[in-house]
Amino acid sequence: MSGAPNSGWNRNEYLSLIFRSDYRWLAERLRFRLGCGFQAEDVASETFAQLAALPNLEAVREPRAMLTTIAQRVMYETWRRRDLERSYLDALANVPEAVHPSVEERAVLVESLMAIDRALDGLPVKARTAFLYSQLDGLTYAEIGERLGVSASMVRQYMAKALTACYVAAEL
Amino acid sequence: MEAVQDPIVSQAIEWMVLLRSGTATPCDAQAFAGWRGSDPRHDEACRRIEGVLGGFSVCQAAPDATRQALLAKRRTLKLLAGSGVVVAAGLLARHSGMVDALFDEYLAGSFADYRTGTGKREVVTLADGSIMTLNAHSRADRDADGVTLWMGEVFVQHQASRLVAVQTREGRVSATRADFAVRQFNGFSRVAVLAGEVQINPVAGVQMLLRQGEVACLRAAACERQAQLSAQAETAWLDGLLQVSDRSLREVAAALADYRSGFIRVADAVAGLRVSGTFPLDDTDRTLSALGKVLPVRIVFNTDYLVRIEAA
Repeated sequence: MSGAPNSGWNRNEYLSLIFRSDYRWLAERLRFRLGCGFQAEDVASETFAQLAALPNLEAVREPRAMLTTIAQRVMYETWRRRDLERSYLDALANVPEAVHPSVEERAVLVESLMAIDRALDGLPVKARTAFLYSQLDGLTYAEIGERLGVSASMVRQYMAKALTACYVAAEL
Repeated sequence: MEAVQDPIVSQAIEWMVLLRSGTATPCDAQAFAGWRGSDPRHDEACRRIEGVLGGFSVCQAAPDATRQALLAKRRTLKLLAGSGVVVAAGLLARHSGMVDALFDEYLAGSFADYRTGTGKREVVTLADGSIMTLNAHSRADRDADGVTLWMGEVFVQHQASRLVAVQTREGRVSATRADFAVRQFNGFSRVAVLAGEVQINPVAGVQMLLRQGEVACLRAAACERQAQLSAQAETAWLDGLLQVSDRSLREVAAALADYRSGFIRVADAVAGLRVSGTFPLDDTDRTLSALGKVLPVRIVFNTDYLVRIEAA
């Protein structure tokens, strides 16, 4: 289906119209591409949940395009979450004395990593690295500057950028 | 990065930057506490930042692992990450064709662990020590005992005696000691065995054993040997060659397209012409010209990006 709803439709009517005409389309499409019913169904339902939460739903003129876009983000986050978890566990595997987190701890951990990752998204690698040295290791700016080959005042700027990013992320 | 205009926020950040520097004095800490307590908005700005930093508390147990995870190379196509989502969605919604194409590309493994671009082959070592070569324009993800192939083609040279498997949309190809290639087509996959033997399990069909030199077509419901195809020819791409015998021009053009940026359009009138021969993959201009000499076709180069093959 395409086109804006007639004026006077309420939000729920529009949503159920989209659901009736496009949910199966999206799920089928995801199933075809992902080849796995479970994951496809998960992505499709999460996508609809996010569509339903859009504040300006009535302004969506092409529901299928919007669903596609949201589904992309859902997939991106799924993959990103998996990547973070994998790199974390890979790194942990290299530390012989490390205590390996339980499944529950792991879930909390991955969500924390996702939140930090989202906040730091868009920062240059050096700024991220500097921030992590400060936050995780408590290094001074002079020490960080030495490791990264930059001045302490540069590290100061990186830190200001990273903390600003954290503030902005908290606003969302 | 958005600039934050609010002077209170800027001050809060300035304080936090100073206190983490390693050169802050106890006086600074006291002055900060005073500033923070002097106005609820000061406290609020600090709390916000601390809320995000609080996420680090659970990660503190393994700082190096946390660092490694957060600094790991990000997958490309960050199109929809972060806060620009709704805006980007609004813009893209006007070009649903483009969204569709991106979506297909995305789901076909744009974020895959192993990826090759147009005209590039790549050799990687898998966790069990097996060596995997990716053909051009291919995508695969690591999984528990091998890889999931999203698009394109891989060749696995098995080094260890552990099981290694390639999962495609239609089924699973596994071996304990074999050299084999798997290509994902639209709707089926093709398996070619150069050494040893492999087991093929269609997602909804009967298992089959494929031996050295054999080629099979794998569909979701069944797997079928293809006696007319040779495993040697199917894997000629490893040497940068396209080796075909009695294949349609459309199929040959599709294989060449992986080695060229842009499109190759084959006119319907000539798409069914049969092609046999060995052609270099790494010089597609030459191969296309060669095709123009042996077949009754005309090769029209409309810029480097669009090549049309038409009836002569």
